Amino acid sequence: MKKHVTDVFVVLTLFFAYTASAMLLCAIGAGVYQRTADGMQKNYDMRTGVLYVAEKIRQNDVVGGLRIDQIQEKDALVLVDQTTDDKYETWIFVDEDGNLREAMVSPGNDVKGSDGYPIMPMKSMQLSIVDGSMLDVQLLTGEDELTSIRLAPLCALQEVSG
Amino acid sequence: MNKNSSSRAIFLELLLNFVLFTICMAVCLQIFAQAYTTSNRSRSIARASVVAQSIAASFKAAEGDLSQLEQLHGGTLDESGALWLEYDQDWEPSQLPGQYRVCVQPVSSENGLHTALISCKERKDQESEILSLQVSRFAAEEGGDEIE
Repeated sequence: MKKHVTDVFVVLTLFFAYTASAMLLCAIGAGVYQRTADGMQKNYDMRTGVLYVAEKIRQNDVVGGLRIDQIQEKDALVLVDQTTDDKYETWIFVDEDGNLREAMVSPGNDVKGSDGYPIMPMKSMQLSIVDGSMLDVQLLTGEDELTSIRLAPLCALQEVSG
Repeated sequence: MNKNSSSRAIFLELLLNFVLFTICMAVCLQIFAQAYTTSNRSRSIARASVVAQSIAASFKAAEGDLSQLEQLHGGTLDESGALWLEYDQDWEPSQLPGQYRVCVQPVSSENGLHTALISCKERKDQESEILSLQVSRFAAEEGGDEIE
């Protein structure tokens, strides 16, 4: 009788050890998956935002093609198209809802924070001219990841204050 | 007797299952660790590429002058003329030796064309290169174009 109880106890212990190990493995797996997914999302937001703005600047790197302006006291990058007769400006800025936004308008038109269409979540974008010839772009992504890139446009940069 | 042998059989089966499960668990944990390392490395490469592009832009703006680049980004120039920049684990510039460092090594400077190699390195057990980027710039007085 005593031996039988011991056998059952050992089997039950082994069973619980098995169950606990399985649950531990699931928990570790879920944790790793979550961390990896979060990391990928942060990485994606950071890379996409920075490369999007950098590529737009490089595409419009012509004399009079770039300007730093402001919308509701927030920095906005203005790309002035001079290749066609119908001139237009592309405004890239961060709206109040926390989205990087792009709006195409005719020159001279007022741009509102709700104009254009959202590109991706972004908390803030700061643009500044460094050393007279470099443009420093600082982005705070939706995942609170602060990243910055410096670009050296060949064209002279204009900054419009207020 | 029958009860005893049946109980032993169950015990043996559970024990074998547990051993097999432990082996699988070890393999899974190794895969999870690799996934985590790969994810971190991917993040490092993304950050390093942005930092390298920024330094390349500064190199062009400084017209290949590394002492001017030193003024813009900090860092220290060594005897061979290479500029070393230190970064912490979040790729933020650091005065102290950090987890990452970037070396801007002048490669050549002929006929006004200044070329440098930007290497991003990680310090772990031993230093390993994350990525490298070559940047060239014609000095302004030569009035040339630029190539990246």
